[in-house]
Amino acid sequence: MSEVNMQAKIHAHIDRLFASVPADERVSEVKLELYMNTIDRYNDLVNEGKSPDEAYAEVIGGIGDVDEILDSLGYPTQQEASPKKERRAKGRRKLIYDHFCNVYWMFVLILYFTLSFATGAWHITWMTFLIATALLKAIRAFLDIRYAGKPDLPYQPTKEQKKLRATASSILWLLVLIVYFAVSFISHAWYITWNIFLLGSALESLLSIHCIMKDTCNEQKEVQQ
Amino acid sequence: MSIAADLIRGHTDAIILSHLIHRDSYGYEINKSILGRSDHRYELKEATLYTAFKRLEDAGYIVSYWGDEKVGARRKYYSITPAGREAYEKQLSEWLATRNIIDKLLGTEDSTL
Repeated sequence: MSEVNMQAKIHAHIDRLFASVPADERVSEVKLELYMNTIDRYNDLVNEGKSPDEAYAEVIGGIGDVDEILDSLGYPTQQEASPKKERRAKGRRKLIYDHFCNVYWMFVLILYFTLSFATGAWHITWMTFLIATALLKAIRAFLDIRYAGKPDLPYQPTKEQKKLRATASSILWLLVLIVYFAVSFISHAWYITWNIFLLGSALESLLSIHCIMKDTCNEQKEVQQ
Repeated sequence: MSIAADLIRGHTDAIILSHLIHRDSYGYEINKSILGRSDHRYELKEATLYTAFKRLEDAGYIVSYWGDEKVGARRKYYSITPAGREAYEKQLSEWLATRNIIDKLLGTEDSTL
């Protein structure tokens, strides 16, 4: 890569680092200063015998955490803008809804394949998806109205609860596998029996919903006591 | 980082001031001198350096100006103020006192005598 290209690459990298803040005078000054020093350092490294790519990696690594600078300039850093806690702990209702969607679509898929293989009318059966999408939208709209303005409590299972769920999940999948082979060898309907895995996925989501609801119930009981 | 980086990081401001005591300088030159004086064992991240510059400027210990270089790139230079010199002297004497105490507490003083 030529020198000019490398300079452009460094420039572009610094632009990206500051992409989250407005390019006002202070930020532009810091960027220019950072850019000049980075180029100086890059040139020194190349003169010492480093390859352009090595030198690039080293100077980029040497810039460090730009949040530190943004913080000192009084800008909210990216971490502050989206707190980790919020990302980690999804709301219970949102989680249950996500799992419900999974169950829903798995059953839609099973329905679609069953219908299709049974009737052979593939040119019509795809409409299952149109109907399913419309229905899900209706359900979503209903839920939005039903729970409008109600807070969605975050769900943070304890380690034991997570362990229990992981165990239940692995037992579930073992059973699914056994059932799949049993059914397939008996019926020889291999073309359709793989739908059992879709069923397995749906069951796992149901299991998750069950866990969330049970944990929530237990928490409420504890609060009442 | 091979040596007690945290301990050194706590003295970033004093390290920068100690460089500016001698002459005005810019970011990369200061970092290069830190690297050289520490025998390539310590180097500041650019971000840490700028954050320190900003802090020192806000405290009135340094001032900055854009150099007007005929050849090569324009650089932002930093210059130490009288208040900065005072702060440096203070931090230096604090460090010497701290070092003295730690030497005594860790028993390193006896072995060096």
